[in-house]
Formats: sequence, structure tokens, C-alpha cells
Amino acid sequence: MRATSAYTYRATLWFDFVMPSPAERKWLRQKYPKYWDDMDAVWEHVSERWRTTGPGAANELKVHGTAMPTFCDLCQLPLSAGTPRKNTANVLAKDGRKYIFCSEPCRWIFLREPERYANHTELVKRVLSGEAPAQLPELLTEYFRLTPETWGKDVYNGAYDWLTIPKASTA
Amino acid sequence: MAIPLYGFLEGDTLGLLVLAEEGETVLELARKLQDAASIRVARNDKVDFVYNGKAIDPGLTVAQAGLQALDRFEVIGRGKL
Repeated sequence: MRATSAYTYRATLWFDFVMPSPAERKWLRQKYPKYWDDMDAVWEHVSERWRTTGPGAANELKVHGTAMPTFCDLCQLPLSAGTPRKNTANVLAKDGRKYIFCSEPCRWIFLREPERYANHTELVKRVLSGEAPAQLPELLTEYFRLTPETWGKDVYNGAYDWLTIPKASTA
Repeated sequence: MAIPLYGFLEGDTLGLLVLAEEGETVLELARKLQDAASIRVARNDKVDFVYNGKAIDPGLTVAQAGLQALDRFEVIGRGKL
């Protein structure tokens, strides 16, 4: 969940990513037979986007998320726990405020010491309060202080041999 | 006034922030989430809008469905609830 999410928001990070190849996805299916089909559908969809746009640094942000991702009020990580069929994020209303957690463990930790975490605003709430910019380009450059030179990219800018081979041959 | 909501699309790997208008239908809101997640998830025209564990009439507006700021909703394949 987190790897796929991070890949499609790689410009928000400071390191590069590689998409799993068909051979690696086949291995992952063998290792995770219960869950991999759902994850594989996402990778296939992202791969198809690269096929459509074509490789190249100029197309990096065309194969990238544009909507604001969401974050856990406790661990501050994206709400990407659970499975693609069932995200485990859950909302808590407490003392006139709403909190969202990526999982039951984060909710449990928060409720042990709410006073410790109540004012730790995650990114969405910072955007909504006006503390952080709402548009992704401004968020990256003005708030995260990233630049096109430093933000994360696909290591190959989408230029994978297997993307040019017909799908039936790569399965 | 826009209402910020946490949207979760079945098949996606993370939740997204969606800004809803009180007068738009929940079906329109579901489409908005699908568009926002289109980098990762293929479009499905047959979906249900789920709020507080119940499928919501797609013709209801956001206000009629009772959605409030920072609520969580899901969009799942039709009939899967």
C-alpha cells in the first residue's frame, strides 16, 4: 500500500523510485497470494499511464498524483493502511474536534495520551488552516522546500524495456 | 462553502482529500474521488457511496446525506456492501 502510494506521490519525497517489473510482480504474487491481485491492479494502471504518456523526465508529473493525499493524526503517515479493498482509516470525534487515524493501533495510542497528540496537526489540517499551500506545486516548493532537482522521481523516467513489450509476453 | 472530506476509493492504496459542495450529489462526489484517484485506479461506472457504514442514495446531496467537514466516506463497487 505505502510503496504504491509513495510512487504516485514521489515528488513529495527526496528519493527516487523504481516500478516493480513483471517478473518482480510475479514473485510478489507467489509470496502474497491473498493480497497481490489488488496491488497488482494498481501497478498495472500506473504502468498503463507510462505507456500512454511515454517515458521521459518531462512526463514525470503526468504519471503522478495530483489530489491532496491524507495523513494520520497520530503517526503523520499517509492513510494507506489495510488493503486496497479495505482501508483501515477511522475517524474519532473528541472534545469538539475530529481526528483521523490510519489504523486501530494509532487510534489506541492516541487515546492513551490525547493531550500529548491533540495539537499535532497533520498536513491536511495545516492546509485547511492556511498554514500550508493547497496546490501541490506550491506545497512542494514553498512548504517542503523541494525543487525539481531534489524531489523524488522514477529512476528511469518511465523508460522500462518491459513497458514496450506487449503485455502477453511479459506475464 | 466547500466541505473537506476524507475519501477512500475501493482499489486505491490511500485516502484522498476531496472538497465537496453542499448542493452536489453524492454520485458527483464519488466521481470526483474517482477522478482524483485515476492515476492508480481504473474508472468504474457502477459504484456505491458509503457513509457511516450505509450505502447512500446516489441522488442525495452532500447536505441531505449529512456529510460534515472531515468525515470519512467510501466509494465501492455496486452491491459489495
